[in-house]
Amino acid sequence: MLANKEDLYNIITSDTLTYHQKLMSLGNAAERLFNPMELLGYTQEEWDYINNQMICDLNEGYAIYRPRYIIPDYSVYMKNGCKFLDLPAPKDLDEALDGLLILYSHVPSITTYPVFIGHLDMLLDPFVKDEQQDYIKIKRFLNHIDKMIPDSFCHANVGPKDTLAGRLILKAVIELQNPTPNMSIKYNKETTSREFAELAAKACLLVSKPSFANDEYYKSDLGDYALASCYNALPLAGGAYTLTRLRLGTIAKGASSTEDMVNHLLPKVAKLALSTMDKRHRFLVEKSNYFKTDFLTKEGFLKRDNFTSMIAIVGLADAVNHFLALEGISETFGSSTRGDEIATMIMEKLKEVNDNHEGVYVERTKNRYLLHAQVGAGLHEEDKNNTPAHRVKVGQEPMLLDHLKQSAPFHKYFPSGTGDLFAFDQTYVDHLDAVVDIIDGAFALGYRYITTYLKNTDLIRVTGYLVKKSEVEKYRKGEVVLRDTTWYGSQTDDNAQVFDRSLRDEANVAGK
Amino acid sequence: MLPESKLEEIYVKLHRIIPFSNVEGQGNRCSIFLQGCNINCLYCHNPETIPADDEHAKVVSLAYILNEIKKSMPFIRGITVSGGEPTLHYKKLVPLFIEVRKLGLTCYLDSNGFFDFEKIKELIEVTDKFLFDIKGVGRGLEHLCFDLKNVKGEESKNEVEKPSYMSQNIENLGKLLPLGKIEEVRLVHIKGFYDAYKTVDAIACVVKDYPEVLFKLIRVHGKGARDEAFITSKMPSVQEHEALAEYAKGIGLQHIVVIN
Repeated sequence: MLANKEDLYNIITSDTLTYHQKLMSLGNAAERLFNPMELLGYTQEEWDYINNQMICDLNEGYAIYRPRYIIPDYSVYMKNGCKFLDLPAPKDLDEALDGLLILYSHVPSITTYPVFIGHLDMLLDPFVKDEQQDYIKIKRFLNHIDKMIPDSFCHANVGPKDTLAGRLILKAVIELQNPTPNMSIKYNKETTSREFAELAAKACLLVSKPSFANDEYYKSDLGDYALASCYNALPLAGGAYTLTRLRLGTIAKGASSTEDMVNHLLPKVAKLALSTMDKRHRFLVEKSNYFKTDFLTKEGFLKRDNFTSMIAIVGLADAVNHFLALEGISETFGSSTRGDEIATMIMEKLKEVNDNHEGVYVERTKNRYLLHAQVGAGLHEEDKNNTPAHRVKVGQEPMLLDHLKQSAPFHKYFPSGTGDLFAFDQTYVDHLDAVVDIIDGAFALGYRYITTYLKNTDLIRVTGYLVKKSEVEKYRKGEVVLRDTTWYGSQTDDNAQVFDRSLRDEANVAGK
Repeated sequence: MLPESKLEEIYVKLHRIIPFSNVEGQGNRCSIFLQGCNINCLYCHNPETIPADDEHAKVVSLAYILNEIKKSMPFIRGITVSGGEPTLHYKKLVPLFIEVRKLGLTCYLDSNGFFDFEKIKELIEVTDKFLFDIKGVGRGLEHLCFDLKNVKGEESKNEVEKPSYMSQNIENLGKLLPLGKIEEVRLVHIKGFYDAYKTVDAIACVVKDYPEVLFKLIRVHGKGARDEAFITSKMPSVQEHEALAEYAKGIGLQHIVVIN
């Protein structure tokens, strides 16, 4: 969407934005002052399909001057320090924590805040000497991050190995109950100890993080990788230039039949989205000079050729429901065999179109962009017709066992990330072994990523990031709030009722 | 070994199957509730499973049950057969357990311990673990658990004949422990029917040499019981319950979970 001077004025005079939120919004609007047909060479047709909402560029901006998601290899700092910041390699935990905080404030992203802050346990474990003292330091560090980076797309990784640093981090995360940082545990049944997995499961129930990432699966797809932002799996020392979404629910409404969708409209729209991505990458790499100027690249935290890009979907459920209705079938996605068939045809076609597209500047992922199951947003009225990712619509979820089995086959399509969430009742806190069994089962069936939380907590996972329900209430009353993710959480709940996901209590798992 | 086809020909009365359960032994398990019990505990939370028949129970083949179990895979590490009293079906469960173990799943029994050890020996062999109830000690149990005529499960002063098997369960526990077949021992703490301290003494006497065995001390509640008000009136206070748990720890039951 193009911006204008009036947008700038409205941001400047807003009574609900903090200073930093205004600055960030002004920056984004400035990028959208440029017409992409002139600046990037978008065709009229590409632009039309952005404007009819079938393609959504997430308002990333057209005059792009940094990649959307940056995944620095922070071990470079541990080994070499940082010349640009005049920081020597850290010698103890204090220096390591201090240095990381300094680095974070220099890592760009689409949100202006870092979306990846490192494999924290691996980075810190060599410095952990005194469990009690070091716990206090790690907890203070994590709390500092929550207040300094008011954006819960900021994501830390732990695991797969069980370390003292990892345990201290999880303990602190449970105590702090902060939305930021978001967190994933790279989990591998073979290399992660059962105790560490159960501690992570406990934290996940109590404070909605870390989520569990199928380490073996992601490693086989991506090599060295990290989980960033919501649950985006991206190459380490690289990241993603852009994320462009296909609103499948919106595209479906423009198709006359399932066949028309799969064979005509969907491939057409997907190709247009992919070609806009090519143009965005060219501008970023060739014109913006980002990779020439940033010290992260110069000093080896990043390499340009480790970057890839994400072509994402939302609204698979809405598209399928639309075609089920057209076919005269009174079932809904999640509990419909035909529905799963339609969904599979849509995903197979998308995979085929994407596999056949020669990407630009994405050597690391074999010159292909990566499919991603995006968690939703509230940028336009149309987002109400597009359920996050390939998820079942809230209110149409089948019972837990059926839900896990229904969703598992769709994970394979999304090497740059997908995930499902399940709200559990309180009894599971006393039965973490059962939670980890469910996670093991999900991974055995091809799940990439799974997260759980207790429904009755204040800190809740919206779709891929965390918000405090109490902070959303403040925002809805028109008060100024610290975190930008609170805005998104509020919008997503308005659109997708994500605060009301089906509770997996005894009655639900029993299928009553 | 019976081939799977044989499972088609063996029928049991099934009350219900819960695909995922986190409270019937370690990990996530598929729970199978069979119809019929040999005792009649007044506080029973599933009293509809006590009679030999019930309108909600259905006769199904073991093949049907095996198929239902497979549906819960790979999310479960095993099954727990409960009831009613599952050992009543001791002959039929043997071929089922043999097949279930072939799937790499463990087989648990949730039992009140009132069974003839020799008679069900074959079932014990194919059972990985028991979740084992101790109901209490002394003659008060006659009213609490053995008044089989008290179908309404109400407070009653009927004369009850002491059944010959009343002390069978602690003996059975003593035999199963050295075989490594016990995962947890449970006591539902209720006032007025048995001496809780003497009961804990009796449990500790056999269990304390097996520190890996969990002792689950559950404070009775009336929810689901037939005479809810009466059972509620027999609830120990939280303090009384905690005091009993402390006592149990003191006499060597270290691995305790207290459920209030």
